[in-house]
Amino acid sequence: MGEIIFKKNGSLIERRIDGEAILLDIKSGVYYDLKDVGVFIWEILTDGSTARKIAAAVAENFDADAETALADTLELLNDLEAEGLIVRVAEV
Amino acid sequence: MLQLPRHELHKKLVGRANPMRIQLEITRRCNLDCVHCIQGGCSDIAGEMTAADYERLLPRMSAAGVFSVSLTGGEFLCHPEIHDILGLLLRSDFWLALQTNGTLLDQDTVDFLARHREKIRAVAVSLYGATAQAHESVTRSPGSFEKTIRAIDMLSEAGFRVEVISLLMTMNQDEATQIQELCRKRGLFHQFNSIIAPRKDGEKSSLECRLPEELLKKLPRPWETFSENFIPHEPDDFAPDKTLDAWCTMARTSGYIDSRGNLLPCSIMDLPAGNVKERPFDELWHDSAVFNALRKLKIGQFECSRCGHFPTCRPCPGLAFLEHGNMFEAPKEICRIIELFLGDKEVKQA
Ligand code: SF4
Repeated sequence: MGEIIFKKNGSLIERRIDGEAILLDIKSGVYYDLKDVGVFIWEILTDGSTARKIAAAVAENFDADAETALADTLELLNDLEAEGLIVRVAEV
Repeated sequence: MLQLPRHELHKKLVGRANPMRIQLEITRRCNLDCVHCIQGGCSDIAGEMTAADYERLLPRMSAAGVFSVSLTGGEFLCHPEIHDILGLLLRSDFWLALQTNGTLLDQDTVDFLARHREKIRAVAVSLYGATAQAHESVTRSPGSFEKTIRAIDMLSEAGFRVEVISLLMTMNQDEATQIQELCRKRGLFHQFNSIIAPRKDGEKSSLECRLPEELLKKLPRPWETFSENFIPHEPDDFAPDKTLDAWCTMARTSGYIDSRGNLLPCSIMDLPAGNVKERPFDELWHDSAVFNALRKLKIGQFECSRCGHFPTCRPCPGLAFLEHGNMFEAPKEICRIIELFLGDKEVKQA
């Protein structure tokens, strides 16, 4: 089984305010808030990426061990997908 | 939890005076002649913002953090470059709301807007009666009723959220139930209002159209929304030493840019921070002495803070500014209306 590439949902307006990413989903009118590592992961999702690649970037930039980085990344991707903020665009 | 409830977002942004919602008065021109219009001088178009001005302004608003933009007027569709301006707005990343009298909307424009429907939160249309006679007694423009109804139907069919806004005054108050019925049949969101303000140039003849208490009492409910607690708050947020963060969004998270490019705290408070044609929006927003002074005002400076109905009644300081020339005074028209709901005012004990 291949890996999934996730990407941002196209119906979002996002603003960077004091280091936080504030997102507005214009389909639902709901606002969301990402901080710290969440903002870092959100940036990577602009061009689409897999959980494994994102976790590697998190481990490198936040001085985390690979296992923790992957667990945290998967948790955030799950939450983002559950809220419809990211979509699966391909499997590689 | 990733979700950010609106009131939490408001609190987060208000502390930073981060603009969230801007109203753009695209033009003061209008093709109707409504009795109650507060603009006055609709033919005075000197210095009107052009599409090129908006091309410079919109990216600055986006970079400053603005999410929502409402288009208003006059009638915004009267701007000679409106299609270019709409194109710029629809290519930008804003959530839009449109306020129109509907009479200039044709099928081509509705189809054009419908291609970007996702970006348009709602279209608010003014309707003053369920018959041509009643509606046109306010618009003083023959044929306007038929055109407005046709616009409402085209917009609904195209899938827009249409919000019908009806100002009730002496000449159309007996239409309230029929307007409600017209909207109910079409499944439209609908809201009455009865606040008539003086014109921005000080002219007050429209105030004669204000409804007397005995007629206000007979209007179907709900006919006002200003006493709703639109920003959830703690009681302490309204203590006399607090700023207006929980009361009024002007110059905090919302602002108004008039058709000449003046950045104002709101649509009726004529206290310009400066002109966006001369200085970038974000610099004006953050550096303006006027805006910074407004952000420092304390609740205790306002007459309303001593009223027993405050903050259940959360009146509009802009209306006091427009009617009495002093935002610190209680806006008497709101007092008159709120007392119908809540009874006579009691003065709070110090
Ligand atoms: S009733 Fe009048 S004085 Fe009291 S809060 Fe409302 S507007 Fe102010």
